[in-house]
Formats: sequence, structure tokens, C-alpha cells
Amino acid sequence: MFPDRRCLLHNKYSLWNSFASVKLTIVLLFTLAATSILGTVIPQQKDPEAYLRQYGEGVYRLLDFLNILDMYHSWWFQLLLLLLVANLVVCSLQRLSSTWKLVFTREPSFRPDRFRNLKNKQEFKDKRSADELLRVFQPHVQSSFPRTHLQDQDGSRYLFGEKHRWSRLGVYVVHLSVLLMLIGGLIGSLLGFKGFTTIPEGESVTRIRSQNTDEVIDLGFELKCEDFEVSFYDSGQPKEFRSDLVVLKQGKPVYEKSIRVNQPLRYQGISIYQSTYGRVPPEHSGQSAPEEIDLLLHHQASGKEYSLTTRIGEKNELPAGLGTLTLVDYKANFHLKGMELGPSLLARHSRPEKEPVYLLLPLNYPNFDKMRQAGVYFTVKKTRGGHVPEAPVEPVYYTGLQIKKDPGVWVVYSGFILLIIGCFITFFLSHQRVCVAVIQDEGKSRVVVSGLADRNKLAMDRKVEQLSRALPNL
Amino acid sequence: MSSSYLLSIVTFVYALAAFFYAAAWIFHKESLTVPARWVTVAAVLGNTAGIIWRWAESYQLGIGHAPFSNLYESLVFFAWTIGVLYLWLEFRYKMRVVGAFALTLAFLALAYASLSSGVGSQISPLIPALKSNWLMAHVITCFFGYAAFAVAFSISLMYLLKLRDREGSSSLLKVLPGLRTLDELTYQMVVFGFLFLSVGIVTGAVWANSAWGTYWSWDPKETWSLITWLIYAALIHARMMRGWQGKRIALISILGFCAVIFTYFGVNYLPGLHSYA
Repeated sequence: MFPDRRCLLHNKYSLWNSFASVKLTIVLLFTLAATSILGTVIPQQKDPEAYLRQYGEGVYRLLDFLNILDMYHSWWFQLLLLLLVANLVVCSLQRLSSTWKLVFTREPSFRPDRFRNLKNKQEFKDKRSADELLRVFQPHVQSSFPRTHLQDQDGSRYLFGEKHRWSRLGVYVVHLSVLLMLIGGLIGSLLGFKGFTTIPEGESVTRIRSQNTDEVIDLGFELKCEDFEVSFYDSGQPKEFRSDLVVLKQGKPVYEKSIRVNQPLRYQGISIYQSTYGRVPPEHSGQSAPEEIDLLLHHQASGKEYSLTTRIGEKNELPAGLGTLTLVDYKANFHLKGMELGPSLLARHSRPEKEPVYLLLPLNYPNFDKMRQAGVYFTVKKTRGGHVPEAPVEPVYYTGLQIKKDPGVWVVYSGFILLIIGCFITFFLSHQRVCVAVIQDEGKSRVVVSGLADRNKLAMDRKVEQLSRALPNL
Repeated sequence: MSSSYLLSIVTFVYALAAFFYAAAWIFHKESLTVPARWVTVAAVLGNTAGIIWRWAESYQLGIGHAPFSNLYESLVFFAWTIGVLYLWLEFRYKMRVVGAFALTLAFLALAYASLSSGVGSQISPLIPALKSNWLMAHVITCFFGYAAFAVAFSISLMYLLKLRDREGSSSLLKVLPGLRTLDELTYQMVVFGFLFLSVGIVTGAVWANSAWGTYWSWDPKETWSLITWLIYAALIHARMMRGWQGKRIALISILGFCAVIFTYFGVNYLPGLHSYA
């Protein structure tokens, strides 16, 4: 009834062996590259309506079923990453023990037969004796191969030199770095959070909503935006946004910083980034429309003035057959051709047998309507009720902040550093070994130089050539 | 006279250098490689002067910043990195035919920058996200990576050309370096590019983390740089561990360069954080 133990063991080993395959690595790397393209062509994490409009019902359902609309977080993409990790770990472990023994051995062994049939072998003859030759060769070889070793075998004498033995570990550093980056990413997504919030100038928040899970997160402190400034280039492009932030605990400021794009605030593991900004609509900045308005109507032809009192939305019959006037709207800060006119009333003036005209009555510029030169103009005498500022107000901004906690970021960063160091070691250093064999031959010495490298063999060939040119002249 | 005018002249100096190398190759005139080299040096110097000049101009406009902020400036820098890398290659390995290919790429990059109507050469102020010390580190490392892949691509093309004529019946291909050298050089350029691309991705991630609070957001350009990185990682594994050589390596190197080109140009047509350059 039980499966054969040996068979299980065998299966276990064959699974292990299939993960130890570099073929699998190559296939996985290419598969990851190819599938990653999908997510750059098909927009990710958009609203269903956007997809329905772009692709139609059927294609949308198919893409959604295959998790392609959020593919980098889909189970199959994560599975590919997991397979790569398993592959990388198994491959590294399988090779590490023998590399470790080779690198950290007390007495490295040199075997002349490993150098005998190398392609880069160079030969020359010399009249001096083997002893004398080796005495002059050794310091020279040592200058470029710090660890040298003399050995006699089968009547010949050998001078070995080697360097950068430890560089064989470079590739494990690279693999470790990839692991660290992925683990750091995992830590960030499990233990961290990310959210966005807006704070109007002068106000504060203590909680934010998470972007991924929609949960409400307590920051553990109060974050206040004291001031927000935006400056523009002449072209109208934003030049800089800056928020003056204060961190408060029990109402007391404990930390403050002005943040800009690229200069975040960090406090107790939480980072706060300048992201966007906007203007607070007037109804939220303590302004409201006046309730009653006293207007003066100037009739230029007769030089007469008539006064009237009205409310927004009310239609007024004007005297002397001048039609009707309706106050249509109130704006807390009216923009006209880039000018800020401050609080303003909008009115419609209808005269018999004429097209109605729309008028602008800025409260801070009473004679503004006179500039129309229409024979009839209105001025605002007084307003009552509501909250209308005396002078044009500075606009009130809100700052848009990205708030995040990512305890995995330092793991990722250490991965980054190891990746660079590891790549440098692996690509530009190699474990180089050189062998100078001196063979006594009828009163003369025959010298054979050859070299062995685990990587970058072309560089080793050049080294051997240089040595064999330099040694006879020593 | 302005820096962009100087750079449009440099475009043709690169073309001239590529022409000399091609002529030296086609007409078997080894002596022509001497003027070719000096024309290349002149082009690289002119290119350098153009970059520094543009930098100075941006300060005169009162919006001083390093000239690495838009497509035009990146193309100019791309041509410069190819030129510098080629000169180093010629100095180090004494291979001259590569110049005919590599400098053509430098010429194409600059010609696209100077002549295409879609690439504006005006100096514009930096948007807040680009104001960072990481900008220079990120751009310089990425473009050295791209340039190394461009040179690797040139050498792989030469490899495939030479492979089609193994008996040496074509006198043109006979002058090309041996297959083993071409193969080894492709690999050397790829690992050089891979190191720089890695540093470029890392500096970009650190920068993104300080600007937006996330070191990786699967933005199309990020993703494409990762795709490029994965392709070259596969090449390196295939060669180091499986002993792949020659044609297969050359083909992957060409595929990798296609990914580089898409990372560089194609992504500008997709929306994302890098839409400015």
C-alpha cells in the first residue's frame, strides 16, 4: 500500500536535480522576459469600464480570467518568480560546497597535468639552470600572481602562481542579491502599507486609507500641513512644490520638515512624499456667497442712478424700460484671462428686443462694469450676509501626499549593493592560475608557461603571452 | 551658432568616420584607418563640446541643469557613449572594422536627434521629479549600458556575416577578426553592458523611491529595462554555464539589443513615469 521508499527518494532527487538545471534557468529567464511584455502593452489595474470600452466584453473577460489586467501580481507570474528562486537556490547550493572547499582550502593543491595540454601554452629555451631560473622567475610571477608555490614532480620543477581565488564566490553574491531583492519586496508587501492623502493648508490628518486593501491605517501621529507653495516657470510648467509639514504627538510638534518632490519626510519608519497639489474649493475655505446685495444702476444718457436690492437667483424689473437683471452666480475668486478678480457676481441683463448680455461684477472693483461702455452699467454698493473677504484672497491649496511604510526597503537596497559588487567580481575578475614548468633537457632548460582561468579566458591567454615574453629577459 | 548647430555638424563627422572605416574595410586600405581614427576622435571631442556647451546654455537661460533631461539630450549622450566606447575598444583590442558598424549607430542616433521633427532640441526647465542628484548617475550608467549593447550588437552582426562564409571565399569577410575573437568580444561587451544596466536600474529604483515612495512600480520603461536585463542574464548563463558560443550567443545579443531599442524608443509611446525621456 505504501509507495516504495526508494522510489520516493529517487523522485525527491530527480525533483532536486531538475531544479539544479541551468537549462531551466534559461527557460525561466526567457519566459519571464516574454510574459512581462504583456503588462506593458495592456494597461494594468485600470477600472473595468476603461477595459470594456477598449476591448469589449469578451476580450475583457478573457484578460480578466487570465489575470493579465494585474499580471505582475497574478498567481502565475508570482509562480514563475518562485520557480526562478527555487532554481537559483538549488543551483547555488549544489555548487557552493565544492566552490567553498576550493576557495577556503588551507593548502591549495597544484596538479601539473592540468596545465600540460592547454591551448595557451608557450615555450622557450634557456641556458641557465632550473634553480637559477626559478629564483629569478619567482619574484616576477609573484608581482602579478601574489600566491606562488614551488613544486618538484617527475624530475621537473614547477612554479605555480595564482590570484583572485575568492572571485569564484562572486556569482553567489549575485544570486544572494537577487534573493534579497525579492525577499525585501515580499517584506514590503506583507508588513508595509502605501496610501495617499490630501491635507488643506492649516489642517491635519491622523489616518490614511491604504491603496491596496482600502483599510484605514492609523499613522500613530498627527500630520499637519502648515503651508504649501507652488512656483512656476515662465512657460507655466510647475517648477517646485513644497509642503511645510509638522508631525504632532498629543498636540505637540515633535518634528518638522519642508518636503519637495525628491525630498521626503521620514518619521518612525513612515515616509511622506510630495505627490500632487490642488486648490481647495471656496466653500471649503471659509468663504460663502453674500445673501443680499445693494446695486446701483447708472443710466448714462439721462445721468440718473437707480438703486435696487436683490438676492442671487432673483429676477429684477429695471426702471425706465431698461429690461430685467438676474444675478446668476457668485464666484469666490473669479479668473479672467489669468487675472484673479476675487469675489465676483455674475449677472444677466435682458433688454427688450436685444440679446441678453452677461455681466461680471467683481466686489473689489466696483466700477469694473463701466468699462463695457454700454450706456448702462451696474456697480455693487454693499453686500450683507455670507462671508465675503475684504480683499482678493490668496488661494488656499491642499497638498497631495504619498505616505508609505516599507520595512523591506533596506533589504532591497542591500540587494542592490551586492548585485553591483557581485556583478563586478563575476565579470571582471577571475581565478587565474599560471604554471611555469622548467624541464632540464641536455644541459639546457626548457620552460613551458601556461595558464588556467575559470572565466575570461582571453585575458588569461594574454597574460600567458606577456609572461612568456618577459621571463627570458629576466 | 548654438550647441545644437555644432551637434548637427558632429552628426556628419560621425558619418565621415564610419565612411572611412567602411572604405578601409572594403578597399583593403589599412592606411585609411588612421584618418578614420582621427575623425572619430574629432567627432567625440565635438560631441563632448556640444554637451558642455548645452550645459552652459541652460545656465545662461537661468534654468541650469545637466543636459540629460529629454530625448534629444539623451540621444546626443548615447552617440557620445558609443563613440567613447568604440575608441576604447579600438585602443584595447586593435580591431578596426567594428568602427564601420558602431559609428554608423552613433551617426544614426545623432541624425535622429538633429533631423527628426519629433525630437525637440530646445532646452526646457526641469520638472520637479527630475530635480535629483540621481538623474546624472542614472542616465550616465544606463547609456553606457546601452552603448555597450550597441557595440555588442555590431560585433554579433559581424559574427553572423562571417559565419555565412566560413571558407573565406569573400575577401571582404576575410579581413574581419576571427570568429573566436568576435564571439569573445560580444560576450565582453555584454557583461560590461550588463553591469552598467544593473547599476542604471538600481540608481533608477533608488531615485524613484525618493521621488515617489516606491522603488519599483512596473512602469513600462522599468519593465522593459527588466526584460532587457533578463535576456542578457539568460545569455550570460547560457554561455558561462552551458558553454553556448557563436551563433546562438550572437542571436541572443541581437535580440537583447532589440529590447534595448524598445526600452529606449518604443516605451515613449506607452504611458508611464518616463514619458519625458
